This record gives sequence, structure tokens and C-alpha cells, in this order.
Amino acid sequence: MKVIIVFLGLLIVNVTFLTYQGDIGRYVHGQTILKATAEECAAGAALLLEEEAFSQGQIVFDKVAAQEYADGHLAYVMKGFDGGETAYYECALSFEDDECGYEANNVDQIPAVTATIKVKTGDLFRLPFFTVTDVVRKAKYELVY
Amino acid sequence: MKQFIVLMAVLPILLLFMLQFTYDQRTNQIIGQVQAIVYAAKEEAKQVGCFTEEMKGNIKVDIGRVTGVSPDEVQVISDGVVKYRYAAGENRLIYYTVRVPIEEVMAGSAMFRIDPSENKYIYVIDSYTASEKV
Repeated sequence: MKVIIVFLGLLIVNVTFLTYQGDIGRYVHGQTILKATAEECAAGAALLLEEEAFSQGQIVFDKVAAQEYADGHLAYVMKGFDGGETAYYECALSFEDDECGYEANNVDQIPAVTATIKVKTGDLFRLPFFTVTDVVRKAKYELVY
Repeated sequence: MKQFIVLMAVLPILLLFMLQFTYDQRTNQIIGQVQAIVYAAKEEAKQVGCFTEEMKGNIKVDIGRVTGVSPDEVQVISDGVVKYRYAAGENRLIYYTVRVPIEEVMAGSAMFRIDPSENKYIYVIDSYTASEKV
């Protein structure tokens, strides 16, 4: 009986570690994918400029087109995202340009787009004592001419 | 003696867990390396406007070098058409798909009678990026 109890104990510990290892691997890879997606959303959005303002020597991002691009890219990536039951995701863009102004720490006034991706999923970890349902990744793209 | 016999029975099961830890670690490392290589290639493709044949070959070789997967088994799918930054809509987007087979996912496949062809999966990166080529 003693041997069985010890065996069951070891089995439970091993299964727990194995499950955790699998989940943390999936979580880390998911974060990497979302980070790359945030970078792509910011980079792709930063290429869309208001042509009229540009012709007058100003850098003004086309906010509507930029948001469309970011939403489209995020939706494309989320199709293959291995994050369990994905309930909700969004990409919020913030702009620093000649129209919106610049952050105080942006002393050189470099136009930039910051993309913040928020994903709410089902529990990414299968262990009952460990719960993660939110992933947030952020990236900034500076447009240097 | 009785305990020794029980130990002999449960030891293979417990050892399988140890083996599975290393298999999972290796699989995670492969995926991480593939992500890093494809990310670097994507950044290059943004500047060039497309994935050239040379870049596709480099991706395969690099993945093969760091992961041990045969380069011939790695698939890099992307049209070689140069996309430009100021093109309209979809015409400025570079689509790419990279498929890498990851073998020996589960330890003790012989013991569980899992065929090697079933003990693998294909890791896929399917995305697109906006060209920066002027």
C-alpha cells in the first residue's frame, strides 16, 4: 500500500510538472507571436500617411486606414493563435505626429505609432491553481526620415 | 523482493516522464528558434519587397542548422513578386507561410505503439507584412 501511495504521489507531481511545462511553453510562444503582431500592426500603420498633409511638409498618420490595417492583421493572426478559447481581442493604436502632438519624452519629435494588443482568452493554464486569461503586448514604431 | 518487483514495474512509467520533459524542452526550443529565424527574414523581406528565392533558401538552411530538421522538409511559401510601400491596399502586403515538421513529440512512442508518422506535427507560421520598399 505504501508503495502505491508513493507511486501515485510521484505520478501526480510528474503530471503537474509536465502540464505546466506544456502550458508555459504555449504561453511564451503565444506572447512572442502577439509581440511580433503588435510590431507589425505598428509598423504597417506607420506607413499610412495623410497625403495632403505630407505634401505640406507635415507627418500626419491616416488614423482610419491605420486602424483598419491593425485590426485586419490582428484578426488574420488570431485565426491561428493557439491560446485556447479566444473570447475577445483588440488592437489600440496611439499616434505621435504633427496633428496629435508628441510625448514629452519624444524630444526629437519623431513621428511614431504605438500598438497595444489585448487578448482575453479562456484559461491558458490547465492547472487549477494557476489562471491566466489576459495577454497584453505593446510595440512602438518610429518613423525616421 | 516484492518492493523491487513493484519498482521494476513503475520505473519505466516514471522514466517516461523524465524523457517527456526533455522532449518538450527540445520542441519548445525548436519553435522559439523557428520564430526568431522567420521574424528576422520577415524584416529583411520588408526592405526587399518580397521573399526572394535566396531568402527562402536561407530560412530553410538556418532552420535546419539550429533545429536539426532537414532543410528539404521545411516549406517556405511566398510569391516572389516585389511589393511596394505606396501600392494600394493588398498590393503592398507580403504574405508568407513557413511550415516546419517537428518529429518525436511524444516520448516512449515504441512502448505506446505510436507510429513515427503519427508522432509528429507541423508547426506553421502564416502571416503577412507590409512592404517598406520604395
